[in-house]
Amino acid sequence: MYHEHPLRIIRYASKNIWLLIFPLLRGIRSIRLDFDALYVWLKGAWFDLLIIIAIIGFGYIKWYFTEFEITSSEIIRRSGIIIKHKVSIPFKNISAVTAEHSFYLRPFYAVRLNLDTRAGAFSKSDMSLLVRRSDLRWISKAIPQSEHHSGKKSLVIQPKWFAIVFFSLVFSSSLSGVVYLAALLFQSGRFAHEIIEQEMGDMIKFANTVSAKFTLSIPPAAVLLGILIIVAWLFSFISNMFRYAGFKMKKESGTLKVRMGVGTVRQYHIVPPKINYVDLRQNLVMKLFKTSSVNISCSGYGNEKNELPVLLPILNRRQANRALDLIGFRKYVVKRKSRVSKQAVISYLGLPSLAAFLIPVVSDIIVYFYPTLKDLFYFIKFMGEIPVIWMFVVKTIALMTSGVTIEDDFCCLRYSRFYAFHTILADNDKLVKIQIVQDPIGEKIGRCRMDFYFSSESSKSKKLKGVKIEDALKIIEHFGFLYK
Amino acid sequence: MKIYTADKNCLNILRVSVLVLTFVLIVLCGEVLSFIPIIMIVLSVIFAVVGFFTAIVYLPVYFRKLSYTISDNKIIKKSGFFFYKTQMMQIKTIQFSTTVSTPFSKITGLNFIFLYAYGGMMTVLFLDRHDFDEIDRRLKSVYAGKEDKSVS
Repeated sequence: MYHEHPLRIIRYASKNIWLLIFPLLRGIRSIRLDFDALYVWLKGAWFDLLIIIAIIGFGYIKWYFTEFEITSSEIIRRSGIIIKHKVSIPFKNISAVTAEHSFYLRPFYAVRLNLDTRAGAFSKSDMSLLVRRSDLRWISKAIPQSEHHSGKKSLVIQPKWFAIVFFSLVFSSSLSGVVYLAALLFQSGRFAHEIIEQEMGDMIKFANTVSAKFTLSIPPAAVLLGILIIVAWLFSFISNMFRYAGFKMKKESGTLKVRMGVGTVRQYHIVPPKINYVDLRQNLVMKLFKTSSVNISCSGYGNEKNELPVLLPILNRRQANRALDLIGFRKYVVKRKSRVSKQAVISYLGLPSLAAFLIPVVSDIIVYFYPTLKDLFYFIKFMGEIPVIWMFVVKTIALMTSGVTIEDDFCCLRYSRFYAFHTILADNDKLVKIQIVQDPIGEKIGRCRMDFYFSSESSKSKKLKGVKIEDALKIIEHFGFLYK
Repeated sequence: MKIYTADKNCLNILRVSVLVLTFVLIVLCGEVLSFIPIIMIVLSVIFAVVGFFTAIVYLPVYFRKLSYTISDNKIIKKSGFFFYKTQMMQIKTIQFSTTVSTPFSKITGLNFIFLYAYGGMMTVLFLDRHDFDEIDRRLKSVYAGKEDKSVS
């Protein structure tokens, strides 16, 4: 039986941080007594210290009662002081093992170890341990999925640095950047508030200067928004660079090992048979360059917030097929057997067309009633049209390229979701359900939407719009035939 | 194949707990809401009805209906009060399990097992300590890929 790293005491202690409410209440009381407040505070310091000792004491006791054990077939984590919890994960069911060497844990020789199976809650590890680095070595040896096969033949794929830069560039979004920035700043409380106040003040001044200097008809608020988006995007880009720098994928007998990151180094050990499907993801830029990133759906890999389940960052179709072959997936990108009907223009382009029409109309109506907001709404109209036109182009390409192929042993599905293009490759036994959805208009014109459900922790479907009903029925028939 | 049922001691403990809780709530209601007699009476009646119904009708029926049949390859859970529910889980689909045991669980029977399978979860509730240990041992042997002869 082994204990976790003593650093875990802090985490366990933090759950009792509410106890600090007592010293705080006492502090508030002592403020009222303004004569000898300091004396009173010092006199009562023993109570505060007692509370802090109690918090750390609880943490220590919780840590002491948390143990993990490795038997010949399973890993067991026992916890609880009064109510005893025991989590047992058999090795044979582990789909991914993650060792996270965070920069702030490294000085303490601590490593966060996450174990995942195909069951349990999505985006949460089934077992998470903070272990000593020395313990990780023997745990790695004990868990077959993370065993080192140094002597055996292995295949290493390490993308060039510019591929990582390109990948970070195209997958950086200002939205995730804003989330990052907000989380980082707002969690720092008052300190962050001061920074925001100061920085926002400077930025407003800068926006005013830019607006005045170039005598643009763009209002300062719009310039400020633009600056914020650029800053957020840069932040997202830099964090992606840090996350994926030094990306290395190693195929050994039985496992795929992925190592990535600067500062926080993450090591993943993935069991290939537990991979649900391969997803070749593209955005418009990558589509034009005929490149894609190879992602996988596997419990425990890429489930966390701001994390992409990427297996190989940037590859063209031939390279992707070769890589899939080398790592033994035996599933390839093939030509579509069932294509989306070219007449399904409304299904694909209806929404972006409507948005492209409505944005200027609504904007002009507002300007008509509030002429003082003319500059701002002209800018909003211009900015609003960009993503809509972008989506229009994406959906036009999706209309030309979407489709599905179901072979005897695997299926290949091409579809588009928002601004991304996806090519799903999966074994037929991982395709668990196909659903045909038809609205009254679709029923009349003989078209439908097909929802494909694959084995996964989440029940999200892959939607293929504008399929001819006879094609859909053929697919269903073939799918049914396979499972007779 | 073996059929496990909920622990009777646990039923009695839960019934007593519910009755005590009902009594406490009624007393609290009387103390706190004495200046609004109508609300006090209505709330007290609601607490009394719910408490007595739970302790005298619901819990005994629920415990009587609750059973787990464990065979070589599957676990069948039967439960329900108004609507009877039968859940089946194949043992080979179990990915991992969590067990929870409370203090004095040998007497109270407050032992629980959570079985996580691909696409679902099954809770095995209110087990006698002996049954709890037996199922735990059984799971251990399943994980090890061996058959536990002591069970069937």
